Amino acid sequence: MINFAAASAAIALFTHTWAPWLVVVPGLIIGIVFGAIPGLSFPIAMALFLPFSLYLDFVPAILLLTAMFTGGNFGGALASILINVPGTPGSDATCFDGFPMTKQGRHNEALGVALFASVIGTGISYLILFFMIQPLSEAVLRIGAPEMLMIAIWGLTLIAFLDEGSFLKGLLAGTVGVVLGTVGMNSVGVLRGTFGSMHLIDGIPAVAGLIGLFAASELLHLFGQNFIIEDPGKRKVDVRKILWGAGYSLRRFKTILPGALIGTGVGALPGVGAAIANLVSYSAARARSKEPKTFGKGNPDGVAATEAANSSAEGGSMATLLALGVPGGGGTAVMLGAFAMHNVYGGPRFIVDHKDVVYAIILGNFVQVLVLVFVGLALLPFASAVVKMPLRYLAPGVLILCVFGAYPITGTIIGPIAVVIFGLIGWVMRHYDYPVTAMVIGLLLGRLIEGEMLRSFHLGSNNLWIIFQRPISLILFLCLAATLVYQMYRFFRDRKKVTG
Amino acid sequence: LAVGLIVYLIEAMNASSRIDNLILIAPAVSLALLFVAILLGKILITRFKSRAGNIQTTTPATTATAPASSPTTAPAAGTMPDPYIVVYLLVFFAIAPLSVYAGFDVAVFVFILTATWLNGERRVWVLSSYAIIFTTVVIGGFSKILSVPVPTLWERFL
Repeated sequence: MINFAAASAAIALFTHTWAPWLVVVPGLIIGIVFGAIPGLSFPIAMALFLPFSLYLDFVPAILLLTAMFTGGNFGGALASILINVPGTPGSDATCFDGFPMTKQGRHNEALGVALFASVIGTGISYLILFFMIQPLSEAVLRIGAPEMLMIAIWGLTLIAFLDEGSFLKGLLAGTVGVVLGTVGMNSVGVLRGTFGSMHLIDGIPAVAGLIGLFAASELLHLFGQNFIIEDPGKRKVDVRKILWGAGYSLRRFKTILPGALIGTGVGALPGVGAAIANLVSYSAARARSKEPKTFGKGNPDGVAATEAANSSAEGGSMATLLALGVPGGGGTAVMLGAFAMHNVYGGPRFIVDHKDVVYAIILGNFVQVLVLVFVGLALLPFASAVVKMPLRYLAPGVLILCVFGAYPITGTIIGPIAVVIFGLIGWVMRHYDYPVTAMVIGLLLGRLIEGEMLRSFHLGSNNLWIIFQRPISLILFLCLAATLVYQMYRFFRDRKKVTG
Repeated sequence: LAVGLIVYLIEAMNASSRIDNLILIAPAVSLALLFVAILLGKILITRFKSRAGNIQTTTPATTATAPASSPTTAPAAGTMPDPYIVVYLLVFFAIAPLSVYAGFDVAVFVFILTATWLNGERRVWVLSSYAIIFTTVVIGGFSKILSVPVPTLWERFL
C-alpha cells in the first residue's frame, strides 16, 4: 500500500531545504491563538493567511495551513477547558469534563491530557492516512444517507446517558433541541417555524446556539463569583501537573485509540467532521468506562476521548480532500482554495500522479504533531493563567467575545442574536436544573438527522427499511443497538445497587 | 413549552402535511409533549407529597427532627434569583437591540461598563478604561480580521 519511491521523494522534498519547517511553529501558534479566542477560529486564521501562502511553494503553503488546522484544534480545547467556551464546534464535548476539572482546580491536568490526546490523535490519523489513503477514500464513497443517519443517531444517544440533571429532563431538553434543529427550510424546500422571518431560512445557527447554551449561560451563571476556581491554592499554574496530564494520556491509549479511529472515520465524511466525531467518541468512551457516572463530572478520560477524536478528524478530512478533492469543513475548504491557488486539484488522479506530494504533506504533519508537543507545553502555562483573572473582568469580556464571535459565523446579526437568546435559555435551564448539554446535542444533530432520514426515506422508495438492506448501515445499527442495550443494562443494574 | 411545541407542529403542518415535512418533526414533538406530561405529573405528585409532608411536620414532635430528604434541604435550583442577576440578564439581552439599532461598538461599551459594575468593580477609572480599551481592541480587531463589515456607530458618523 506504500509507494516507497514516492515516500523517498517526499523525504527529499523536506531535506533539501529548510523552508517547509520555518512555517510550522508560526502556523501552530497562530492556530492555537485563533482556536482559543472565542469568536475567532482556525478557518478564519487559515483564510486570513491564505493570500500569504501564495508566496510559498506548494508543500510549505499546505504545511502552514495544516499547522494552523492542528494548532486550532488544540486551541479550541483551551477555551473549552478553561472557560467552558467551545473554541471550535469539534470541542464542545471537551467542555463536558474539561470545565468541571477546571472548577475542581485540575485545569493543569486537563490541559496536559488535552494536549497529548490531541497529539496522539492527530498522529494516529495521519498514520492511517499514510497507509490507507486509497481504501479510506473508497470507503467514504460507500457512505450514504442511511449510514450517516446511523452515525448521527449514535451521537444523539448520548443524551440518554448524560449524568447531568434528571434523566427525564435530559430527554426533554434533547428532544426540544432536535425540534429546534428542524426550524428553517428542509431538504425538500418546505419552510417551517420561521414565522415569516427570512433570517431563519437556513435554520437556527447551530454553532451560535451552542455558544449561547454552553458558554454564555455558564458565564452568566458564574455571576457573583470572584474566580472560576474559588480556592486560591488551586489556581496555580503547575507544569508538573500538566506533565501528569500528559502522562495520563499516554497511559490511556485504550481510550485514545478508539477516539482517534472514530475521529478519522467520521472526520472523513464531508460535512460531518469533528463536530459529530467528538460526541460519538465521548459516548463510546463513556459506554466502555468502568465508571460512567464520573463522566460529566471531571473525568480526564472524557477530555482524552473527545480531544483524540476532534484532532484526528483532521487526518480524516485530509483524506477526503486529497483523494476526492472534497472539503469536509471550513478548514479543508480554505485548503482547497490554497490548492487552487497553486494550480493543484485534489482527487483520485492527484493521489496517483503526485504521491510524493501527498506523502510530503502526511510526513510534514507527523513532524508538525511532534512540534505541537513543545509549542503546546510552552504555551499552556500562559493559557492556564486565565483562571487567575478575576471574573468581574473575565466574564463580561468573554461574554462579549461569545456574542460577537458568532457574527462572522453567520455573516449577519442573527448570529449574535442567537447567542443572546440561547444564552438566556441556557441560564434558565441551568437555574431549573435542566441539562444544556442535551439541548446542544439535539440542536447540533437535529438538522442532520432530518436531512439524512429524508434522503434515506427517498432512497428506500418511501420507507426506512433501506437501513437494514445495506451492510454498513446494518452493522452500524447493530453496534448502536448493542451499545444501547448494554448501557440500559448498566443503568438498571446501578439503580438496583443504589436502591437495594 | 408545550404550547410552543404545539404551535410549531401546527405551523409545520400548515406548511406541508406530507411525510416529507413531518418525518422527524411529528415524532419529535410528540415525544417532547409526552416528556412534558410525565414531568408535569411528577412535579404535581412531588408538590402533593411535600404538602402532605409539611402538614405532618407541623406537629411539635417532628419539626425538630426533619428528615434529610425533606423539602427544606432541596437544592437551590428554581428559587427566585438575586435582583442583580436579573439586571445582569437584562443588560445581556440589551446587547441584541443595541447592536442592531446603535452599532456593535455601542453594545460592547455599554455591556462591558455595566456588566463589570454589576460584577463588583466600583472604581470609575478602571470601569471606563477597561470598557474603552476592550471596545477599541475587539471592534478594531474584528474590523481588521473579518471579511464581513462590522456595523458601528463610529462608522456611521464618519
